[in-house]
Amino acid sequence: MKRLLVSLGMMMVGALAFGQLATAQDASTMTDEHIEHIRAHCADTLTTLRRIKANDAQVFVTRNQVYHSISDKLMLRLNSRLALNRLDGGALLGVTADYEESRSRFQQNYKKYEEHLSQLIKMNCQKQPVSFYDGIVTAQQLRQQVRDSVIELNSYIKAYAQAFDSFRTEFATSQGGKEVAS
Amino acid sequence: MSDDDNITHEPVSPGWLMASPRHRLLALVGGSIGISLLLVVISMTIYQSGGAAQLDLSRPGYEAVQKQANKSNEFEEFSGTGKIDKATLAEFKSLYASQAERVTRVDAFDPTVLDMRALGLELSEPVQE
Repeated sequence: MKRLLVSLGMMMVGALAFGQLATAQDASTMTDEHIEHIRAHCADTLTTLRRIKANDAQVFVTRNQVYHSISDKLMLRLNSRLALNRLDGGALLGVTADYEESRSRFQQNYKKYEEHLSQLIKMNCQKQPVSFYDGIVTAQQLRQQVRDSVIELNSYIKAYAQAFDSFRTEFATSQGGKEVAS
Repeated sequence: MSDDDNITHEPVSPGWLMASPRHRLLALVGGSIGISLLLVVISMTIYQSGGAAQLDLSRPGYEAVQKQANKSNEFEEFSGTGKIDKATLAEFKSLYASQAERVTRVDAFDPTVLDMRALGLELSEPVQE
């Protein structure tokens, strides 16, 4: 147990050291010319970042509303209706649970990204050009995480549609009738 | 009988009750302000940490995008009760497909938006070492 804890601790220290090294490397390879370039252009960059932040907020609010409504007004309603009619909607329930987890991740990832962007916009880029640059690199990574959760959510939306189509086909068969799935 | 039996014990009042009415009023006002500030701090912490701040477009700087977000707030819902038949399943399919298409057709949070070159932070020529 102790060995496991020590190994985990060493791995964490190693990961942190690697992270520090990577950042330090970025700063050390940055030439004076590049630093001056950042100083000269960062005011425009800040304006662009403010605009990106406002647009992202609107996209997040709209998406979050739709993702919530898909769950609350469609998936959960159908699941409940199937249960009331004593029909087997197990596959649909499973996808709904995964979707809910993914939705929570989307909100958390966006929160992290938004908070970081807010801090970045408050930064004095004239005095700290290298930190500002590194902050944008982190913002890129956090934005990528938000995008990944959007892709994941979209995949669950498609998975639910597929599960629904399977259910519909089975239902039509069990009703002894024709194929209704389109 | 001991001497202690002759001593009468009067109830001890807290210090602030012994103070003059003027001081008591000041303590009341100060206490009320203190409690209000504490509640504000607690509610702001919940607002920030709970993710409500990210959904609040009434914050400064978001006025322009607030109207756009409100426009797209319509959502047709499926009833959670009733029988299941071919018609209800077809109705669900139609509702679900339209909403799914709404979110999956448009790309969101494109990472190239924060590209260094797009932000004007990359030198136009590659840095020579």
